[in-house]
Amino acid sequence: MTEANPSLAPIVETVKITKNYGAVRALRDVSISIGAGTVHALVGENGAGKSTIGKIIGGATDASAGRLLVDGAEVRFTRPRDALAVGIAIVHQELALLPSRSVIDNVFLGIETRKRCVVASGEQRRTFAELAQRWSFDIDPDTIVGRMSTGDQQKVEILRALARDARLIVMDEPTARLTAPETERFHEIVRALRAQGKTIILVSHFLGEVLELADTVTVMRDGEVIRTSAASAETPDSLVRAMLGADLDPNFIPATERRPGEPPILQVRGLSGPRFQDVSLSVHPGEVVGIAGMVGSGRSELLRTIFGRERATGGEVLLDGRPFARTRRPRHALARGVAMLPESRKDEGLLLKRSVGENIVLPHLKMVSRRGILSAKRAERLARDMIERLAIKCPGTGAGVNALSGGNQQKVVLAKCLLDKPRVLLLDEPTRGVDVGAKRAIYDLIREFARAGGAIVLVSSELEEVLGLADSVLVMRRGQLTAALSREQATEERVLAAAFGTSRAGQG
Amino acid sequence: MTGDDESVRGPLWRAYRRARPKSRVDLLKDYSILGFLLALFVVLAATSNAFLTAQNLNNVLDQSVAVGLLACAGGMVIMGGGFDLSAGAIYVLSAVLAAKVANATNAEMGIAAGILAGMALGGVNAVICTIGRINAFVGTLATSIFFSGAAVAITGGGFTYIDDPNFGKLSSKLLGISVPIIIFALFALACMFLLNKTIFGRHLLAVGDNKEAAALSGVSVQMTLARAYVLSGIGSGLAGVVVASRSLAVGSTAGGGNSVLFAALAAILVGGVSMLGGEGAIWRILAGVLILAFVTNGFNLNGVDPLYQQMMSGALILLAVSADVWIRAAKANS
Repeated sequence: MTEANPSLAPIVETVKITKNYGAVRALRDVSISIGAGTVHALVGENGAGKSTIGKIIGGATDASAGRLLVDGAEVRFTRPRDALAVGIAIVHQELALLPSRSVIDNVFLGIETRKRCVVASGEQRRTFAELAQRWSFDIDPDTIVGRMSTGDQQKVEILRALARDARLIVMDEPTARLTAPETERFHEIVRALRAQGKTIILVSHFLGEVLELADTVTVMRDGEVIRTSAASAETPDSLVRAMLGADLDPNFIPATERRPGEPPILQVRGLSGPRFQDVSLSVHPGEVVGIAGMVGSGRSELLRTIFGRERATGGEVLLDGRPFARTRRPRHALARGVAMLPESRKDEGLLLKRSVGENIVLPHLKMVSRRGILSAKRAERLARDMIERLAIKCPGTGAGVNALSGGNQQKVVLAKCLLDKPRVLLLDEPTRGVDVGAKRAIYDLIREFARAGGAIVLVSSELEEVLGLADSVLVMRRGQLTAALSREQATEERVLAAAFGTSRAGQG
Repeated sequence: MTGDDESVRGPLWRAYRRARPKSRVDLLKDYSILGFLLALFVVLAATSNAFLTAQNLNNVLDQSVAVGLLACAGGMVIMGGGFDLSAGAIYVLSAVLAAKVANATNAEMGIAAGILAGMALGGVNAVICTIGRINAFVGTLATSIFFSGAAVAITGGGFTYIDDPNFGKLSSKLLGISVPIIIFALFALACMFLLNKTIFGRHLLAVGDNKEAAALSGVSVQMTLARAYVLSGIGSGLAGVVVASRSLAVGSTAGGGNSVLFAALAAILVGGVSMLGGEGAIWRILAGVLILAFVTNGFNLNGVDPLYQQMMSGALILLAVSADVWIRAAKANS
């Protein structure tokens, strides 16, 4: 590890910090030293651990092992308040504001200036005016936060940190949801903060931004620090190379079962929604189309729109060459053989209070009923068949789905999709948070499905997964397709470059 | 936990597990509510000679019919993640409409009108809380006030007397059991059937558990909830005509309706239905209705001041709900 700015005393140091989420190790022996008054960037692929270390420094979560030093003294944060007490604040990726309250209420929430028990609003206004002037933020204190643009909301969150006299601000993906001009303004704010002696930890996917703003860059991969160096010594390419993971698992032989000459099953033409624009793609029988890109790039919204859970603002979806009703809903998609495995199994995939069997047959109750009356026997048989076919480990169809491991829960969601023999599978992060064994099993199921002539659209943040399974790879960035690569063209460098928006983005 | 080997249990146990395969938390809940009901029954039978008589038990059940009808139907709405605060007002208004129609035509038409009115008023709630996207508490509180006002407006505030004595046949006895109890039993069975044996029931629990997952599984969230509100309206309408048939006089004050509504909510809570939706069972709601009815009856038989009955009911709700919370917390920590 090289120290970028040895002249500056570190404000925060992490010493061999390890963080486990259950059996998953998110961080391993992470040692980073943050120089006072610097902008220190953390970069890495999705899941590399950069947000986690930011959260530990900001007190949003605590480390499983290792030490955290502030001004050279060891501290233990159990909640964000502890970190705030020593001048450390977090600006979250998902902004944590009260949308129906005014700017000033949000900025002073929890630190209201009071006279006895009453909020001293006059005094608070003066403080706000001073703050806004000092940092040249032109924000009306009485605007309702929920009506502001994302960029302005972010300013409110930064003001909130400044009102608490934060010396160090952790910013987690601050520009992921900003428009280009908003991003530019945000960059100016960061420079101004640094000029006034504040320290910034910048967690970002955007390498250009990192190199422009940061003094020091730490590259992380798989929960470990790869290297820390001066930003001036790095280029986008050198960062991408450092971020790349281990070599591809040799078991990931692609399906390539695509049958030439057959017309596509699924076609998407110029589809647009609030968070993605003008996306076109087509999937043939036996083909796996992978969509890579950063979290928040519009991939999930694209899948949800194809499936009919969100309404398109333009473009069309065709199934077997026939247009799919613009007013389609998931049940129409399911009826025509399109199934979707949603991004979050707990929020969108499962009924956690119900049994494995009930979950598996939920989308297919018509198959096991006559005139709305269920046949418990048939439902039981179908569910048991799926449990066997997918090797779901559970005591029986009646077992509560919440008692299952993550991998087996994911298999239950997959079983819901596969039960009625769909022709198109839309998979959103099919192996997120599952163990290695379940991962392999899910890959085998995907391949088997494609081999049988099914069409798959696979969204994944795990590059190896996309490259290992997909016959062609599309890359999304900020709601747009930025690259379409064939299997042969798709290398980790090319995909990452397109996803991060560096110079070597492939077009073709 | 040891001693869980299924083979050492009897066939009855295995049949039970097959029919209701569920977690230990749910089993404990089932056992504790049944155990409590049984204990209460034994204690009352032991302390009062009057308790264990056909006459008394028939009376207890008969007096629980309105509460029970509202509890079964309202419980279904809650299992679906909704809430119907207007059930008491619908109960009053449909009784008023039944009386008015009966006086204008005949008893049969009046009874039909009362039930249909409940159904239609439930439909109003359904539209407001689904298509109208109004929060269930807000929407049904508003309709509750509106329906109560309508009941007073129609009657002019006093009692309405039903002229046709045939209306009273609804509360006669059949084979020694009063007809309202039979109506209640049939309605409860219908609710059980809907909940456990139909697509609607599965969809309702799915919507109550996780709306997004349900929608992504092809469930029409709004249609499912709408049906639950209509069902709740039917339950209230039935309760309205049954109670009207007893005295052939219908009051129009909101107070009567709301006290039935709150008693029904109490039974739902004692029956261990999660206010968050997604789980619950009709038979447990019935147990809740019985527990509260027995407590009241026991206090009456032993000559305890009715004020203490209310305090007891409140304490029971707290006990049932906190037992549920604590069992879950203990389970989560183990």
